[in-house]
Amino acid sequence: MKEVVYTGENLLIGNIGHFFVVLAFCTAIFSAVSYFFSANNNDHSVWKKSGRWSFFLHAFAVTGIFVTLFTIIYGHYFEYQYAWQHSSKSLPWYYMLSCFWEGQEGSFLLWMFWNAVIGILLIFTVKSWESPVLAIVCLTQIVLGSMLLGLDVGEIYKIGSSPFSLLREKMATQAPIFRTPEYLAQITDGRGLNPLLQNYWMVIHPPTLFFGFASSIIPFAFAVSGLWVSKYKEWLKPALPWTLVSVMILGTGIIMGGFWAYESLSFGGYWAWDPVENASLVPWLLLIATLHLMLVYKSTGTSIILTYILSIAAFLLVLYATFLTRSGILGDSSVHSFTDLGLSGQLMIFMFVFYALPLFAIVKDKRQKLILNLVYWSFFVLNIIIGIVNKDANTFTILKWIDIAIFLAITCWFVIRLYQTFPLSRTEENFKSRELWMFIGSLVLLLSAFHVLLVTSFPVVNKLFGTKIAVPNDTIPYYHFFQLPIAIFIGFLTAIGQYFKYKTSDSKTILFNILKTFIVALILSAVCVFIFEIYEPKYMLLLLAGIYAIVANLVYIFDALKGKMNVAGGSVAHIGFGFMLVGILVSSAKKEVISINQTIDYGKSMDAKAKRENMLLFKGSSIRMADYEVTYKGDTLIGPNTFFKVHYKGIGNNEEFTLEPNAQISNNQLNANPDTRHYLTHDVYTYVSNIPDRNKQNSEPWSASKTQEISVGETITTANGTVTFESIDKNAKPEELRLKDEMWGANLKINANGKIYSAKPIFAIADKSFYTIEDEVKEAGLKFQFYIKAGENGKVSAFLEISERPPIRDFIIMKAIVFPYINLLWGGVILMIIGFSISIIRRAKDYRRTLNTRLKD
Amino acid sequence: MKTINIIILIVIASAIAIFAGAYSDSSRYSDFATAKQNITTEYHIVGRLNKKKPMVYNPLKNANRFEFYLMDSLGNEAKVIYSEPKPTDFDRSDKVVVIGRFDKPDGDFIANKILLKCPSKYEGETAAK
Repeated sequence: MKEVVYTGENLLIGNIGHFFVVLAFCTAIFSAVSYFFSANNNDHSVWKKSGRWSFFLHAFAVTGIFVTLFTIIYGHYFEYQYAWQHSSKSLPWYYMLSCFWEGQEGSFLLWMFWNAVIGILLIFTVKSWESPVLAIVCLTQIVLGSMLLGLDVGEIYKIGSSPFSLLREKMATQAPIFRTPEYLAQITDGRGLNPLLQNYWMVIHPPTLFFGFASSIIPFAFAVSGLWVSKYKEWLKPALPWTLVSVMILGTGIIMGGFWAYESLSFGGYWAWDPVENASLVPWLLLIATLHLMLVYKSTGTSIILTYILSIAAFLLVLYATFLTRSGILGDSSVHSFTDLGLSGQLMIFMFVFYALPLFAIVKDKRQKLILNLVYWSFFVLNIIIGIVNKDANTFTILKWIDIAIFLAITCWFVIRLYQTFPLSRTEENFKSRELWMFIGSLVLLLSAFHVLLVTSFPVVNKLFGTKIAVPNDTIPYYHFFQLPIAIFIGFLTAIGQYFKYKTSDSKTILFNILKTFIVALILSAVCVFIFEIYEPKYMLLLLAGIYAIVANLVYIFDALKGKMNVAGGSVAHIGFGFMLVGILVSSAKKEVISINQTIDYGKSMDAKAKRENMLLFKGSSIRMADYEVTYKGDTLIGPNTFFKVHYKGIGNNEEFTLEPNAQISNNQLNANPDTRHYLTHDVYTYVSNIPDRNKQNSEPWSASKTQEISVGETITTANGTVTFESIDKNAKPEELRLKDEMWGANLKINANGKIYSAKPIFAIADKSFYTIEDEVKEAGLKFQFYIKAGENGKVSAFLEISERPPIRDFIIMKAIVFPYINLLWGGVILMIIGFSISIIRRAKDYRRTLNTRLKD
Repeated sequence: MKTINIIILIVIASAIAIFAGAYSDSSRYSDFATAKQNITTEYHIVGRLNKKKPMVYNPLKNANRFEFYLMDSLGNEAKVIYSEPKPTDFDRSDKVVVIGRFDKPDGDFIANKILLKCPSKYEGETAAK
């Protein structure tokens, strides 16, 4: 076949992009190596400098990739697969940012970008920790960079997937379109962005979440560095403010995702325990526990082992979460996981490398280290080779068990080495000390994370062990069975924790403070039970826990801290947590589906049990839902979205509003977005779950027509309604018809489904012949023809020919939910963020102060 | 015994309880034949839509009833009844997970939840030109 020379392609920009990808990859390697030698040679200044400058170059290259890809999307260079698949010409620029995270390559790029930002921030703030910490950051950059390389190895395997691939390269088969050199002229627009992502929350949620994910490298890098350069405890102080940043931003990212789901997904809520959500929650829980343990260590010097384990585990779980969501393994269990891009092998290598890092760091003996390296990496290579070459299932089974054994061995070895490095303290723990309660709280958070992780990992367990475990349909009670008691426990701990002092405290004062605040909380809860109408004991307990957390921390700020807000970060965050508990409890326990039609009897026994949570609303007619009279007013098309106007009118009050849930309709598939009326005390949430299939309705066949004689005033009954022949219009010629023909029309009144329609079929007399003009009432499913015939005896009679089919009626099927007091949740989140910000400032100042005093010494 | 040891024991015990609880309350991926034998238990059934047989959704009659035929991985077919509106994107997906149980051994499969396996939620279909 002759080589086709394509015209109109802009290959330069893609080459620039490729260049940046390769540059970023190489500089990351160079920087990692430099920093590695710097760290191993007592902060060797030449190595350190070279590491630093190559990291700057690396950050420049990553930014370059970002800018190039954005230019491709912005300039609509559809010869590039990424632009073609994820964008279209009509996208506004801010949604072009969302194109980045629609595809996997873009989200890895985003991660890399944040890592570069974090790396630069670290270079300028961590002083003596720069070399080891940056070496580890660079290592992640190498692995992430490899995901973008798009290098072909042999016929089938490739390393990474480049965002700068051309469309014609990516197409699996030699598509006919690419036989013409001018193929590009035929591609006028891209496939566009998934409508679900065309939402302002989707512009800011993924970058926030990814910053959270990326920042989890910081506690990991510090912990591993601490082991590596044998400064076992000094890393905690610089790592603490960064861990706070990580917790705050990851938490914000998660909750933004919840808010996005609430605002624009139609599953009816903000949290569904979906595996993808869980995968981001687990590292967050671990980071929170880490944070508390770091504080314990800072004040008392205990809990160091668990701090190490959790700091390391949080990042490993981020990697695991990435693997879960990117490898396609969640396929059957999640509604929104990515499909496999062929990167799952690479993701496994990613985990493989980072899992062993802490162990390499803790082993000091040169010979042991060498053996460990040899064994681990040869095993690593063996795995890859068998993974690629072998096709025999038995070998895989053996390899699987060996893998599991080795991972267990590594974990055990690591923990044993930790115990050897940090001997346990011999002192008896004191129940009157704050650190013990914080330690217990961290363990409980760990249990919560363990539960979520376990359930989310069912698909992995199934794959490994051939089991067939699935999360039951009733997801929420399944999770809450354990998570609810944990939340109650954590709520109470949050309330009492701060009243204890580190080491030991005075029993009487503690008891007095705890009791005092508890009584206030108890009274408030009793009131709230009636306001929120929560009567189930377990929910009442959770309510009490939430309110207790709020009250106790509020009192603590004014009583113990004397209102000094700059040290009250923890208390403010705890108050926020209390509000979140109450908000989550009330909005979900008291959430009420109001679109339940009590008046229609569906007849069959099965349907009586069914949920009936969706209601059909004909255009123009209204139905009562809870305290509202709800009317569907019709739809309008704005851009690609159809907006359905649903009017709510309060019964017995003046409340009145219109919600406009919308949907993108293609091939009669509905991509629905809800609309919500926000009140201070509740939200009215509405989405359209189905609409009539218009194509199908229009193609329904007509029944065989029936003709019958009819006289004025007479009424005919059909299956779809009654037809009354009201009068004859002897001058029925429509104005637009400039014909001489004489036209008589039949004025028909149709009474169908409780509505009156009119129709006027026409009988026309031309010169020597006659013809008819039919008329149709789509909403009644009736079609009419009108004839006038002269009988044998000269009598003129009128005939009406009627065809029937199912009526075409405009309606929507909608679901409406009332979420009470959901603002408590959002308010709690904001308080929590404020609390974290206060703490970050305090801890960062703290760290700077110690740096300064050390310099003066 | 030191306090810390007792705490750690309690935590380990709780972890085991969580493991056992999560496992015993979980559901199973299965097939129609097994589900028919055990009509009191809920199962996850992965299957393919039989597009030759009718999919019935008549919102005018009942907006909360949708019926279709599903073929499980072993090739057994059953009529599935879902008491919700027809899920959007249903026509595009061919692999479907239904969660539910049979109403009676020779009856229909009552799905409480349907998970659709579209080419991808985020990425759109892979190019097929």
